[in-house]
Amino acid sequence: METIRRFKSSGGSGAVIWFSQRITGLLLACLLVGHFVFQHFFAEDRRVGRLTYESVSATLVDPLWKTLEMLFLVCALFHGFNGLWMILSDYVHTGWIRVSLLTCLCVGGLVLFVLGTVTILPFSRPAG
Amino acid sequence: MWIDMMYRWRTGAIAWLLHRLSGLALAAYLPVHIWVNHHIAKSPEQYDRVMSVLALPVFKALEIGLWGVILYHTLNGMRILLIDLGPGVRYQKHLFWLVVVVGVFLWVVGGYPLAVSFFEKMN
Repeated sequence: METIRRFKSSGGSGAVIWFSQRITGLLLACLLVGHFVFQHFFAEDRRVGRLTYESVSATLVDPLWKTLEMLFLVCALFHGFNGLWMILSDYVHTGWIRVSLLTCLCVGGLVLFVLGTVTILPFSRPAG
Repeated sequence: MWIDMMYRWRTGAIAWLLHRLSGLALAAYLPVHIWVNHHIAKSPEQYDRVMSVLALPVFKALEIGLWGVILYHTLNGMRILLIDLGPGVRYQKHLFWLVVVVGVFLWVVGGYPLAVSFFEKMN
């Protein structure tokens, strides 16, 4: 009983966290594999054998790619940080430590979201 | 406390542990990936400089590993989804081996071009 009470004190039912992790995971199955295949395999400049500004910027100026990469960014960050929170919740049960960790995760996620967004959305090739 | 640890390391527990470890690896990679790619917003020169560092054989090898980690986490994620929906529970062991077989196949298919460019750089 003591064990059950200890775990119950760790928060709500966890249903929202559980469900959102499934939804973003399902989206990522398409977005991540698509991203990896196109941006890691096909975007490589075969002449020099690596990714170059030339080859990557060609996809990143495309509004469709911007949309897909933004969707990927949001899903990946949410899924990753939600996953970290799930793992931490398995081991950390002290109220104030949980709040501190959750705050760190939210701030970290937000910073990375901003950094990713300013990379993707306003991107255009310099003239000339 | 010790009674919590009495479970045996069977298929399901191994799949769970690998899912956690691969998830942690991907969560560690994501911030680095976002930061590295931010260089494309700075200037073509800075981006190409970073990319020439990432073209080193060691990073190519890591990328092959990354592809494997992505595949395991994605495929086992689908297995978890099937288990959560119900019908997968009875077949969770079979599903794990399906994950392994499909994963290894796609790892070889996708890893091959990466391996080719890895060996080109080694020479």
